[in-house]
Amino acid sequence: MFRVALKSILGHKLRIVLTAVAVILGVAFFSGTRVFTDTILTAFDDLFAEVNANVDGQVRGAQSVDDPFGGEERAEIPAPVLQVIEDAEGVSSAAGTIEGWAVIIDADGKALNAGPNSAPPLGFNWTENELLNPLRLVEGEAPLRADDVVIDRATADETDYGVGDEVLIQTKAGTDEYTVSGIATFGSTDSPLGATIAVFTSATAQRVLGSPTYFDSVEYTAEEGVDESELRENVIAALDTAGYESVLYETDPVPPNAEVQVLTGDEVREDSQDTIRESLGFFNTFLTIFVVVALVVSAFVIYNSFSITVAQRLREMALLRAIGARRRQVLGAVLLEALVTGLVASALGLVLGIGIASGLQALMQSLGVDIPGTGAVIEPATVISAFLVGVLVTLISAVLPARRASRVPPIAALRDVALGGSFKPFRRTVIAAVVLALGIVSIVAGLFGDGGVALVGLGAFVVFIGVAVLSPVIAQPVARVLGAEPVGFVVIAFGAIVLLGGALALIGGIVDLNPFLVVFGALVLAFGWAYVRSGVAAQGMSGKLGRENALRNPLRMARTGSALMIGIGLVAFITIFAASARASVEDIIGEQVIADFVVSSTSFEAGLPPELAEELQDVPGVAVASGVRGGAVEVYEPDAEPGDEPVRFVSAVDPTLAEEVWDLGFIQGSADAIGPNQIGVWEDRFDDFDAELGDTIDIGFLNGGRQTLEIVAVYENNELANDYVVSFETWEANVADQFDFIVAVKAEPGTDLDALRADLEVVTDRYPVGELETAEEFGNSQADQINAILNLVYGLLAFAIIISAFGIANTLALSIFERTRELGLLRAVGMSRSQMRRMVRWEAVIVALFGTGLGVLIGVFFGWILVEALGDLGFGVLEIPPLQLGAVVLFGAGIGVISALWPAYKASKLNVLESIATD
Amino acid sequence: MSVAMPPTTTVAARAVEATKTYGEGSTEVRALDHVSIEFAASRFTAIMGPSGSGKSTLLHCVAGLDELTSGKVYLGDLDITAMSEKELTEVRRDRIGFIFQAFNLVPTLTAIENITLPMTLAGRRPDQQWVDNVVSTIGLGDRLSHRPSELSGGQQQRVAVARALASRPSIIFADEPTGNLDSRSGGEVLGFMRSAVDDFQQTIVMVTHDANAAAHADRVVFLADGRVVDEIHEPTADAIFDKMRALGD
Repeated sequence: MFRVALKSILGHKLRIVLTAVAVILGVAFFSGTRVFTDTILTAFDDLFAEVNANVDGQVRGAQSVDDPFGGEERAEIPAPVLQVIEDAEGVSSAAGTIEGWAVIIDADGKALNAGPNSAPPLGFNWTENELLNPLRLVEGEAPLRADDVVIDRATADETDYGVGDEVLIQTKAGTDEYTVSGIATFGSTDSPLGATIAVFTSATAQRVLGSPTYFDSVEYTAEEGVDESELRENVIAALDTAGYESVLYETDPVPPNAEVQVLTGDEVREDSQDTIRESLGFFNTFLTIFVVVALVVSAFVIYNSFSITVAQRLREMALLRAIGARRRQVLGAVLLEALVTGLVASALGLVLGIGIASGLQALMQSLGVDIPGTGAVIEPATVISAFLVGVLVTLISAVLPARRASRVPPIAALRDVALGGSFKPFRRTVIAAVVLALGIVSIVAGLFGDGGVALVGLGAFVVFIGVAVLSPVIAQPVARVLGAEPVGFVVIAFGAIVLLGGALALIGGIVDLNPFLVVFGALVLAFGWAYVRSGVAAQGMSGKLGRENALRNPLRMARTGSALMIGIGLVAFITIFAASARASVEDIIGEQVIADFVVSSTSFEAGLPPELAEELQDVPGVAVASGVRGGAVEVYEPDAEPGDEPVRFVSAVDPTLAEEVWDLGFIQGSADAIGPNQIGVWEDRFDDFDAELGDTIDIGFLNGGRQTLEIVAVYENNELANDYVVSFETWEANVADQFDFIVAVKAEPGTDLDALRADLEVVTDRYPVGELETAEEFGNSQADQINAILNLVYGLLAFAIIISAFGIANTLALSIFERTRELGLLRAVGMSRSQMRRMVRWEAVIVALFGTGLGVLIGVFFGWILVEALGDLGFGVLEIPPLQLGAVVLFGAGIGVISALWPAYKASKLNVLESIATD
Repeated sequence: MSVAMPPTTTVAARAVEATKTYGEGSTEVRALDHVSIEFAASRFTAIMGPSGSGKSTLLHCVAGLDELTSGKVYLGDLDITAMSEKELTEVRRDRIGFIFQAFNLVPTLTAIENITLPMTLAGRRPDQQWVDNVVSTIGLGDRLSHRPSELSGGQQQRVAVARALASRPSIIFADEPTGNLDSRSGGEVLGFMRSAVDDFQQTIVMVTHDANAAAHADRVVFLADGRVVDEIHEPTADAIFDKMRALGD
């Protein structure tokens, strides 16, 4: 049997390749993302090992707050600690470091790295000690004067700033002019991951990045012959003598009275590696979701391919059975074929994946994101898991078809019995209903119960399976409608719109001499043309034959469509979800912002100096200009486990002005009631705690430690203000970094807003990180940020959709192979090649539309249920955007058009005579 | 070798010095060796010969399904050897009818849709009266709206003949049309083809190895080793048997 299976594989190379494409792509995506993240990780491990190579120990703040986005805020240490360490026994040299943000402004007045998704704008102090300085000067000199700055080489190259040039840099202390004294690299990289770096003297850095008389950490080197742990003991002893309470790196939880943490050099290197791993961890999880989606789609496609090829060979199987092969042997032969397919495809997928990873790296490099190091890092675990995943997916997908093959009666070899393609609609409907119900229960439990995201994902997967099981039952009636001639006219109309768009892009490109636009326009034109032709294909005999061919085997059509359904379903879901999020954001901002203008920071790291609000307040015609600060704190909520208090965002406002510009919806008390050591609490939390006005709640601030605050106000709108609101006074007393992330401006009644805007711009132009907008524009631009994430998600889903496109192409190609004689007959009685292409194309479009339709329905359902579930987080609106969903359908049909290209060409090139003669 | 036709009849198709070879050098096989033959209009011609005699190749080449190595094929006055693939397709669609041994019908179309298929492909409206006329003679009655899988083999072949007739082609080529049928069904189909020639003045060229089938023709042409070696006009089955025996089949 083994030999029979191998012969069968070698005899049908094309079939194997077609089946394998789905596995290859799935494994490539899987291994590509792994190799890519491993490469980045290794590169950064190496980079930090390099820049920290001489560090034998470090002292840093003991208290930290993990912010919910994966970062960490750490308390600073008093500057005198440096002296204590320098004097400690065994310390040869020490240096205090200061880190913060500093936005470099280029010659055109544009702020670098200040976008919401850009790499961070880093600011450091210059470390005189060469052993401990991560920066290497490549030109000029270290910063000496207060207004000297050293910038990284990548930024210098990008901005054309050279030594001696004047450069504007915005920090929390304002926008100031500096002189470039030198250009440096960070370790061996020009700029790690595209960050900009500005390096100041320590005194300047303390003022503009950190706090005067504080460092973020102190690094030091050991004297000859002193090992790291011995050094750590010495430093701890010295700190103790000086009166600083210290803890070790591994101490957890950190006692509240601890001030400093002492690390060995190895711990410093370990910690920086962990930090990178953690920040990439979220990205990894995110990628994994899409890898799983792609693999599920692959499984659908492979399952379908095996089902078809097994059906085509049932007679051969029956013959094997007739001459004495046991059922188990037939099963084994098909599974062996799957195993070999899986192995070969995994190997190819792995190679392709490594290629993709290198391509991604090159792409990022070309976008200015410098990834240190070079070669792709291929961990043994990646290789093993790639094979495991590829082979498992293939085998699992092949089990059911193999079982069907083994059940073929031997008599089928001799008699002309109809094989395959039949199913029991009632039984199928019942099974599908049960599966769908289970999936929905799982989703609901995950969303509304405590089930978590995993349960939601599992439920979504089960729902897809349920619809896939049901789809053959509805395939025929639905496809009859989808394949009808009038649908062709709709497709033609779509195509005409695409053609128009393409023509406009092409003309625009020619007028602007923009080669990209010309190519893009040409591609869109070609696509639109293919579209129009597909619509034409629906008409007449080609359309009828295409339609009938699609209807011929509802199981096959349903399976093929289901693969596309998953990708399109998720695209539709994300589209609806994003549109709903947009609408909700606009609603919230429209209701809760009562200011006329808003100046907001465009960056997540960088903020607005407090003086901006003061300057805006002084502009004639301004009634109120008031900022909002805030950050993550630990809140000792009454219902939290001691030692496991939640981290929440707190907003800080000027209590006397807040209600003039924000509508927080105070239910009890008011904003101006919030004085020092007092706090306003969001209604839901307030109710959860069964609190009353006058009760207290403890907040753990980074610098100020644990503070007891009195609840004096309760408000209902937490979407902009978060769950807690304190006054500037309280914030300034407990947090070192003071900057606004948003400033709201309200005009005096009767002021000409256009004129006022011009006056405000004079001020805001000096702060390029801040963007001046009307409240409505602010709502729009906040909503626009959702689009950036949306595009990334679309890009990642593209992989799943490409795989399903191959699935359609594969099914068509196998069907054409099956119908060779019929196609030959059609050609003999006068069907032209273009008519034949049309026939295949329309069949593909019907299958694609079927999958797309199911996908969009599921997407709408998922969108609805998620928006319902997230009502508490400010999701007030379910928005089903008709235009975007129309575009999704258009895109789905386009997948059919594209998948049909090759099979249609193949079909039209069939040799008439040979086809008729085929047995 | 040239076979003269009675001067009163027109020629529907003719091959001139038709040669078809496969392979090269020592492995060269000559399927057709300078065959020149004319097929008269409104006549029923049968082509016979032992296996490998080139009879099917001749049919395929004259019907525009296969290309000659050298020589010419004319349909009426049209030189089809000089035609592009596209022109050939149109010729097949508009001027030629086909009946194959099996798989004659498109399984997704009903009998009547199969019959009018070439005209639908051409975007022409079928001559309804003519189609009704053809359809009524094949005696399918209410089975016209059935799909091929619901018809018997004989019924399927009759539908195939009706399709070949429905577009009023200048010539019909039939390749072993009764090869898969029992003798009763085969007889019905052949009778039907015969009446198409007699009643509708249709031209039919049929390849067969069945002497009884060939006996329905007006003329039987014998091929051997790629050459026309003999022919009989107004044949009887016995006369055909004798000739075939002489050819060593």
